[in-house]
Amino acid sequence: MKHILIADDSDVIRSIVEQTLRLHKYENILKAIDGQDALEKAKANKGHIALYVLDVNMPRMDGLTLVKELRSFDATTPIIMLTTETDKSKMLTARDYGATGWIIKPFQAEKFIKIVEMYVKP
Amino acid sequence: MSEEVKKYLIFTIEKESYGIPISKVQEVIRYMPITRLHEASRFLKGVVNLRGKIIPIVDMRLKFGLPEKPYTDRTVFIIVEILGLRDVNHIGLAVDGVKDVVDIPDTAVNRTPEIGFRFKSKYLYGIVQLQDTMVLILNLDSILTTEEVVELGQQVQQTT
Amino acid sequence: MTVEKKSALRTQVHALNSLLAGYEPGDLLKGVDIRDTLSSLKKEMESLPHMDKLLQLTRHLIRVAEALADPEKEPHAMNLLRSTGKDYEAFLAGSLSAKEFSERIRARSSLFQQVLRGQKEPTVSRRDQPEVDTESGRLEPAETESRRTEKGKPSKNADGQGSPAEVRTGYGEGYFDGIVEDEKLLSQFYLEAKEHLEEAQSALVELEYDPTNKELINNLFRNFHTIKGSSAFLGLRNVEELSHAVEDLLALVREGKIFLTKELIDLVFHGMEILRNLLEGMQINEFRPQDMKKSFQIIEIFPYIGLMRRVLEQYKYRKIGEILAEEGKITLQDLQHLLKRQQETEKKIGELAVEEKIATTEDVLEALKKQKSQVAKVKRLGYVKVSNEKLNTLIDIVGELVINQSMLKQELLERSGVDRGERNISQLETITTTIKNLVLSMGMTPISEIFTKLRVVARNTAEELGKSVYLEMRGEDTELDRNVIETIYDPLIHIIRNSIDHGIEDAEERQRKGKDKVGRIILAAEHKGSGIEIIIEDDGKGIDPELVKAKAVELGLVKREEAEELSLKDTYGFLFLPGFSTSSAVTTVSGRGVGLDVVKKNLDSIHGRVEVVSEKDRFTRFIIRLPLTLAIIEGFVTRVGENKYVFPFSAIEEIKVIDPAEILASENGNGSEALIYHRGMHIPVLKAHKVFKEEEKGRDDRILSLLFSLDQSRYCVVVDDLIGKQEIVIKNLSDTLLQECPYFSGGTIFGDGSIGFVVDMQGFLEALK
Repeated sequence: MKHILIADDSDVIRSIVEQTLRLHKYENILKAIDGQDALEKAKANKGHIALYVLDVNMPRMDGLTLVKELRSFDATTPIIMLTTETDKSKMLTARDYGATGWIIKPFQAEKFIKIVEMYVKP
Repeated sequence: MSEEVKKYLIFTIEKESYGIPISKVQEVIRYMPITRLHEASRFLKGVVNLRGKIIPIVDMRLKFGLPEKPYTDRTVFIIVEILGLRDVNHIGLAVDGVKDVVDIPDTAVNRTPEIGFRFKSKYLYGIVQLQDTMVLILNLDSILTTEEVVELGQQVQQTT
Repeated sequence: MTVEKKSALRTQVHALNSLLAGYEPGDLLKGVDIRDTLSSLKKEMESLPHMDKLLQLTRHLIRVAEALADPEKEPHAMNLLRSTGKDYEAFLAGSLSAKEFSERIRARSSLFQQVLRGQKEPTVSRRDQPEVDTESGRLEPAETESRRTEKGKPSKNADGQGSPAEVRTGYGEGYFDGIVEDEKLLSQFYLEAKEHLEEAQSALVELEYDPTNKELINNLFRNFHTIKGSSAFLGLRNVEELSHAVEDLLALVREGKIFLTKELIDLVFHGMEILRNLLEGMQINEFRPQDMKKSFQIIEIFPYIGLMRRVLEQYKYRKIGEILAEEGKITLQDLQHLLKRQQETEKKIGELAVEEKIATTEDVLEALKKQKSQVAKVKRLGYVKVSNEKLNTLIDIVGELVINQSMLKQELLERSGVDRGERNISQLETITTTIKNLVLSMGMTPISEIFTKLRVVARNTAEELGKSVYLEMRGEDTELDRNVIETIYDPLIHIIRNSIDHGIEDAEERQRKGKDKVGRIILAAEHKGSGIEIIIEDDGKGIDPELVKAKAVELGLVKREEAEELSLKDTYGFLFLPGFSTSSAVTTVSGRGVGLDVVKKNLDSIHGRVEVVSEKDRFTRFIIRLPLTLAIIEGFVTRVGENKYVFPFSAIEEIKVIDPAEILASENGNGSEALIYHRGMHIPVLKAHKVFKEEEKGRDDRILSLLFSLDQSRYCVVVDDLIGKQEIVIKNLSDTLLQECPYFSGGTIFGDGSIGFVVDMQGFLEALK
């Protein structure tokens, strides 16, 4: 069973995303508290990750750089960026780097799950 | 121990000599007409216009509880600086005359003068004997910030 | 097809098309929305007869919409959706025949195949069923969607016309309905946000010394960004909007568009303070949304957001491309295209736009002009530091200039018939007045300078005492003399600390009294007449006048029988007497005042006045009235006895020449000896001589007087001569003198070198009592 990796420096958002996923029977969840942490966890679990959910603004390594880094060793796994109205402009770049798509926070859990379901089934 | 020497301005009222640190003195001017204030307490005579600044004039004779004497050509105003509530205040002291500026070492000032002692010593910093004259060194700030008459002269008179 | 059904379809197709138009590459949420809209369209069609073909097409389109999730297929999928969506609309509107419609679809068949290749058969996902998942539904605010669309625009609105008047005041109904009912999540958020605020605080402090430090700015930005993101999830709209406002500012700083000035740092501090208040409003109510709402209601965020918007408006200037896009000269897609091209060619956007025929040369020139004026605006906000000393000297010199000019005018006017001279002098007057106002305004500072510091004081005091207090500020823009500001800082600190310490009750007591747990203090400044009024009001326990009276009797300040008749104003006046308020009985019972006498003394030194109004268990209000500036006033010069006295012109209603026959005997003996009946009122006649101790040798036939209006009462003040209205440069009278004569606010020197005294009306009236 593959994992979903969530990277966000906000405890609240991590909890919400995790709770939402667990509610919909996604059990294998990896959590990272910043970009660097996410990169390390991604490398450690190479080949076992089905989806990345990444915040754009994170300490130590921002989401955009993280996408670039991830794509250097994982070309296919979908990457969903969690962004905000303010950072929407960055999404062009994120896509250039290889992000699959983006979601503007705050989002409804229901919609979030619909999106996740498109990429990975529980 | 190095001896600290300060400069004092010596002025006279009646026959007595008083000293104030020169550092407090901004300048000494000749008598000029005063815009009188009638309400003010007895010793605050009024104000003068000193180059665009309004300076109150305190009659030191009255401040010391001595009888008023009309001002003459010899009357001078000593303009001093004292620290007020908000900033430095300039006040003119009307005195009978200015005598001298002298150097007085701190050690020469008798801080516990053996005189009268009913008077409030906070107005008096100390006493110095200069040749044949006794000079009362004043604590200017407390004299000028009090609203009362400072009965210094009388006290001194009693002892001399 | 019934008309009704058809119009329902059309509405949905229309909704679909606007979704499609707004779609940007990678927007997964909109992708879901598009799919959902198509699904409900499909359902609608299923209920209608003769819709098989359209239904089939719609099923395909749902799969096409699913392909949006794949970046590879996304562009084609979007193309298909957009073009087909338009055809749907045209078909339903009747402007496209069924035949034409199917021809168009057929033309796109290869594209359809390409997009749908490898795409799973449309599965009826369980999400498509109209089920309500209460568990997940619980997690988000009810109107997230509408809010988001509404929110996407404000920044643009603010950029464009951006009328600050649009700023809301007060929370609308249902504003807080979205707050998540999950105490655990809320408290988690509270802790997280607190931590971020602490980090932000230290970053800001460092930034004060190192305002261009990129890393610090990034950290700071992230702090607010995270708070915003998390709060949005929890439906804490106020927290979200507030942190969003700060974030917007920091985003500009981060992009190097604006420089983080001291003013902006203060603004961020201010925002943090309100955020802290909001967080406290959560904690104090133990994260129960219903109770939190009540506390939230009293903490205003919109004035701040409005302020922020105005500030950003001033600072921001935009790029040519943005201006063009905003003006509707080019589309956002064009802009994106141009930006991409720019990276390749390193040409200017304007150039590229013309080259690629996206915009006309005129449009670009117009945009350039706009940009220039914005840049100029930004530049104009630069500051030069001038020492206080130089400024004060300048003010003094301008004062002299004003005096000299009035002398010159006098002289010229006396030589009658000099028309040209008169014209020149009035021109000179205009210039002098302009210079005077300019120089005076240089010495003016917005009161926000100390309000900001007071916020910190309030916060620390509240923390010390374990109380929760919200400090609301009004009129921070009010400007007043720098010297005045410096002097009122300490008194204000004193009053605020007192309000928190003795006024605001602890949370329990407040709850018992039915008040909100969060105490509220209002700090307001506003122009009133020729001065400034500052109000500090708390909603605490108030001061019981009876206790004050009892204390005054006890201290022998007033006789018991007289105490009964004291007015409220006089009663509260006791509080400002030395030693009065320090008494523990008053402090603990009525809750007021260590050393209010010091407050009064400080204010006296700048001719300010202070007054208290209070109502038990409701409020205590301190009203401080201050002169706007200490430098120049409009005065009316008079002679009384042997001296010249200047009365503030602003308080004078008219010059009244009194016929001795008009004078009525005094009705009572309370200070005024005589009255006149004038314009339907009995007005006391006061002799200035009495206050100034000037000799009275007035004429008996006509009595000259000035009619004043003060605090809704009128007085005639008798003088010997009326000299006239003049601009008066107020000179400091030394404290020694002011102590003696509290009815003077200063002195002045006239053109001939003579001295006049400037009268303080309040003091004047008091001296008569």
